[in-house]
Amino acid sequence: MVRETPVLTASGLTRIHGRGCLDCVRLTGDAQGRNICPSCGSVVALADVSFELWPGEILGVMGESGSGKSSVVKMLHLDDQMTAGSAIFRESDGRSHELAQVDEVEIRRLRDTRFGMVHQNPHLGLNFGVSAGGNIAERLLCGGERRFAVIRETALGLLDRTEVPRGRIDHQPGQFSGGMQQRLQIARALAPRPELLFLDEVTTGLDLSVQARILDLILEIQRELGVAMIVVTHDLGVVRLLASRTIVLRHGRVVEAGLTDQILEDPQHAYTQQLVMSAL
Amino acid sequence: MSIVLSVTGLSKSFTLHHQGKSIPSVHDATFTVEAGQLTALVGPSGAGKSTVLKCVYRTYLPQAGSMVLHGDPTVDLATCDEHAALRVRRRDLAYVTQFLHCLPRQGTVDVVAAPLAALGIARDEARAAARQRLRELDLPERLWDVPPATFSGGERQRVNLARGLVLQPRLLMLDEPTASLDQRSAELVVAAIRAAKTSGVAVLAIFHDPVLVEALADQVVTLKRPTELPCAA
Repeated sequence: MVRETPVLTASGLTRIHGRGCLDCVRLTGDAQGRNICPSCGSVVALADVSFELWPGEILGVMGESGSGKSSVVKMLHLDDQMTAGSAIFRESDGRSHELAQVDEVEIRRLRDTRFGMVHQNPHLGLNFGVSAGGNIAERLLCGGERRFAVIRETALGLLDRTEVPRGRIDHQPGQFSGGMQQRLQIARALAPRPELLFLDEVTTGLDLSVQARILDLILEIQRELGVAMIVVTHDLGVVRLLASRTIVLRHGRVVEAGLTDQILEDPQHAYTQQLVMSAL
Repeated sequence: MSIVLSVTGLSKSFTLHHQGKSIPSVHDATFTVEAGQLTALVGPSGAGKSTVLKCVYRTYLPQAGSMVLHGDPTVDLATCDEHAALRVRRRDLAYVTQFLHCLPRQGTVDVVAAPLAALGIARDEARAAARQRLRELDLPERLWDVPPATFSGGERQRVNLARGLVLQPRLLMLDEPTASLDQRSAELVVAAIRAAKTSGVAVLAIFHDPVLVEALADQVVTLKRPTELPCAA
């Protein structure tokens, strides 16, 4: 049965790069048309971003470069610390964590076993020094699995699921095509059966047929595993296909949030209207 | 008969920020749709018939009015949160347009079975129900495993309707479901709509053909083209 509580509740997420001052948030944002504080020069990457993510749901995070969409993922994946705000992550066993306050040990455990991250650039998400199988094994070892046979079987299962030929399990990712590297990254991210998957521009720069296979794979994973996902993209087609709900960021602020088809067909904010009208 | 949907004072206009314009589409629409009955929306093109359906589906956000879907729980689609709207879409509401929006690269049977799969019904059972609907609408069996992308307009439309009916929704919304169909296919569609009504589905429909309104509608709602209003901003 579906849980009736969100996997993630983010409220007031704020990230300021620089020393910051009392006026940073007031002097930046969509209405001001900038994200650099004119008073102290700090960069307000995100301010007051709030949303919920429900079990099995795919949330789209859309915006142009510099809008703060990758900052959202960095903070939630605990790669960067928020300046202010709160993000509560609830595991399916009922434990909940305030991500603004977790310690190093807990950060490690969440990243290794509960979260999965897929980057635009496979070099950030894969270890190019070990084989494809090794990339998956690393994640399982971090999660505490020590039985070789289990690791091997899980790795083969994930390669099957992500359509990486089994015969390539001992090859290094450097010998893979871009699309296959991306599928291996997804396999690696899924290895510990995470409850929350972050996908940061995963199809950007891939050719269309490769994009299509990755998108199909993501939907299949959602259908079969019910993992909640946050999909960051600047591509309207990707949110249309994947996300039931979408938030639109600009200058570090949420300028629009709603059902994805509503945002694409009846955008309320001037920026979203321009974005939708610019689509091919 | 019990009321499934009551729309009261629904108004929708589109604000185009870059042109500093507000385009009115629907003004003060009020009507009900009852279980086992069909309410037809009629009016000249530009009167906002399709806009009403898109508002009820929550693809468009209305400026004023309420759109209450009665049931357990009763939900006002004008104001409910996004998850409530998604739940209604999954369980209670089917929306069939002239255009088929579906996942690319998915075979027709799976496209039709998708609403059942989304409710967690087993794949085999969902596909069996989908085949049954496709058979009723006489879509050639050789097309069932092919993605509908290359289908003719009439074939797509029947796939679309099959997907709308597979769920046995409480409210079925139809936007010109017979627009590009030949005589025989149109008759099959009409039969399918009649069958849905008989089984208790409430239907809200737009037909381009007055003969169909005459044949199927229990209530007729006439919408007028709204007059241009000065921009409020």
